[in-house]
Amino acid sequence: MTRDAVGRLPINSSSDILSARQRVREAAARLGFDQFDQVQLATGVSEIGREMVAAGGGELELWISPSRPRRLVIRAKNAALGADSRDASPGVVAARRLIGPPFDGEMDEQAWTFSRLLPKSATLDQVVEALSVGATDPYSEVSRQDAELLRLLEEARRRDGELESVNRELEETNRGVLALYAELDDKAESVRLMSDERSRFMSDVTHELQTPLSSILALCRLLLTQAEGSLGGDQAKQIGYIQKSAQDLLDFVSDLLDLAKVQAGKVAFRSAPFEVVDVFGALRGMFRPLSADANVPLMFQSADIPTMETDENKVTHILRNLISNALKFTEQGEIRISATHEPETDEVVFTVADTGVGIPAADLSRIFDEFVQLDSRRGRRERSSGLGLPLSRKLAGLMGGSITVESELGVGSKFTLRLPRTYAPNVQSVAGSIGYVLVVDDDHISRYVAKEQLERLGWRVIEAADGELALKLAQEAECRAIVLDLVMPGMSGFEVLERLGADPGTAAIPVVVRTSLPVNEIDTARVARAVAVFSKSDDSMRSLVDLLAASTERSPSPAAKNDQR
Amino acid sequence: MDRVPIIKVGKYLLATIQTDVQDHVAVALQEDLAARIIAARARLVLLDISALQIVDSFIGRMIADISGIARLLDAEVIVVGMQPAVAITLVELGLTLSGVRTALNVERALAMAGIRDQA
Repeated sequence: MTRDAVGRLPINSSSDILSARQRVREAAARLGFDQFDQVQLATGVSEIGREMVAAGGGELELWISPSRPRRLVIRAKNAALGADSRDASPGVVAARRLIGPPFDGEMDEQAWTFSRLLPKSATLDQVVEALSVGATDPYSEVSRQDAELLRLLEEARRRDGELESVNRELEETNRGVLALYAELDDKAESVRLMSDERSRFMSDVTHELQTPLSSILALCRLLLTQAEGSLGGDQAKQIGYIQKSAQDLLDFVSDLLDLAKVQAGKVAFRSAPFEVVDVFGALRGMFRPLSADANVPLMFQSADIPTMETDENKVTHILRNLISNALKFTEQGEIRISATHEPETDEVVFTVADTGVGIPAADLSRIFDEFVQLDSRRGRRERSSGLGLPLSRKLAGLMGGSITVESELGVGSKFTLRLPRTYAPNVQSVAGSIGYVLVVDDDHISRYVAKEQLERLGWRVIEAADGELALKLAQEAECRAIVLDLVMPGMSGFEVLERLGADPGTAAIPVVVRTSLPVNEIDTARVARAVAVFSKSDDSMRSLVDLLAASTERSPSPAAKNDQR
Repeated sequence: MDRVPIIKVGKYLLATIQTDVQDHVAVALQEDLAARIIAARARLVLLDISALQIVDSFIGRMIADISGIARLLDAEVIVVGMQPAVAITLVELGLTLSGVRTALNVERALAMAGIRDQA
């Protein structure tokens, strides 16, 4: 133990005396002095402290003597103390009596020392601890804690300031984000507008393209089936080519438009019950000439499938796409089209499997992208837009189904179409009777085509080129049915439909809408009064004739039946 | 602790020093007690120092002074509950507190006062 291990107690005021005696008492307790000794030592310190305060203040040092036997040494330092006043004052006398004799090795001019033998039980640890306790007094401790508190408060205040500035920063960031959001909203709005614009443009252009194409096709059909028959063999062939080309072009335009409509989410469903067998029958008829050309037989298989109730046109459309694709890539072998019903999920699963060139694995994911045509060692046998598969997949998705593909290069591909058996039902029934048919269309070629077809079936046709006339005729003539175009100058087909419905004299007349607008795009609510809606671009003339015929005992003419594109 | 509380119990005053006190608190107690003795017309003051561990010459002299002042005011101070170590230390210091009556506890102090009242 050296002199360095010392406790220091400043003695400058009566409060210092109080804390010094308390510290010394505590230190004595830790050193193992009994209670009586503790009180004596503390009281002695109090006495010498008073002497020091009276003499201008000073400092108490506590240490343990380096030599054995160990003693507790209390040294009172006071600069003002004179050597001659030593031991004279009563305080020093009292302290000498209470604490003990001077410590031998420590005689100096400006201090008194007092020493007391340590109890035998005192350990070194206790001594160190005791002296460190003695080094602090409660008042300086309190003021130290006060200072600490103030420092912490200051710190807290600084943190507050920091938080505030961070807050401000966040607020600014937030404002920035909000501004960005607003900008994004603006951008989204303009993109939406552009998209709308594009859709409108597409539908306008397509409308413009479809109308003349429909007319060309219809005229070709008329020419080819005309009984007046003044066509030479070559002419018939040439007209056949014209018809084929026009049909291709119309298909392409339709695909493009359909895809655009699906993308714009503007697809309406006309769900009705139908039999898969009938769909297969129609497809078989449609592809018979093609598959015969290609020397690849189509094998249709359908197990016992319950009646489906969804959009038959779309199912047919998808299967047509899949089959024509299969035909394009299959040179030999066969194409199997099958349908099965899965009772657990109530899904109908169509598969179209070919024995064609197959699709490289790397391309499997790409084939449903738009305008993708895979390179093939085989040349294109036919023109293709590359829109068939993407459109098919989208249509399947809209019906709640999916299309998947498996393929092995050189072995063949298998497309699987899964569709829920029923979609939201939306059944339209046909009602009507024999009599005049009023054909309303501003396009005289369309009107002429419709008239020719209907008259060949024995219907009497009256024509109206605009809505006003149509309403007048509908009231005056004995109309049994009305074939109505929607897009007309002046009064539109929608308005005509509405006014026909509002007039009790005409409200009962069944109206068939035949329009060059894509059926998908038409607001079904506005044509709800119509018994059916057909597209001029679709295979509509036959359907129209079938529909009108359905209300008579007459059956459609054989020509109409075979009318296929 | 700035002030030693002084409680009036019946005809007596009870002052309890609850911890080691600074000099000015002891001085204040001396003044407060004098004022209360007069205000309450008290004849007996019990000064409880059982919690006091350190009584140095200053505090000891204060106690003696309080006793003297009270006597001049026709009251008696009984110092109650002095710790043995304190008593020994006071003797070592040469402070015998002559003229100050003491009792080991409040009960005995009241008994002493009761004897006095009867006399």
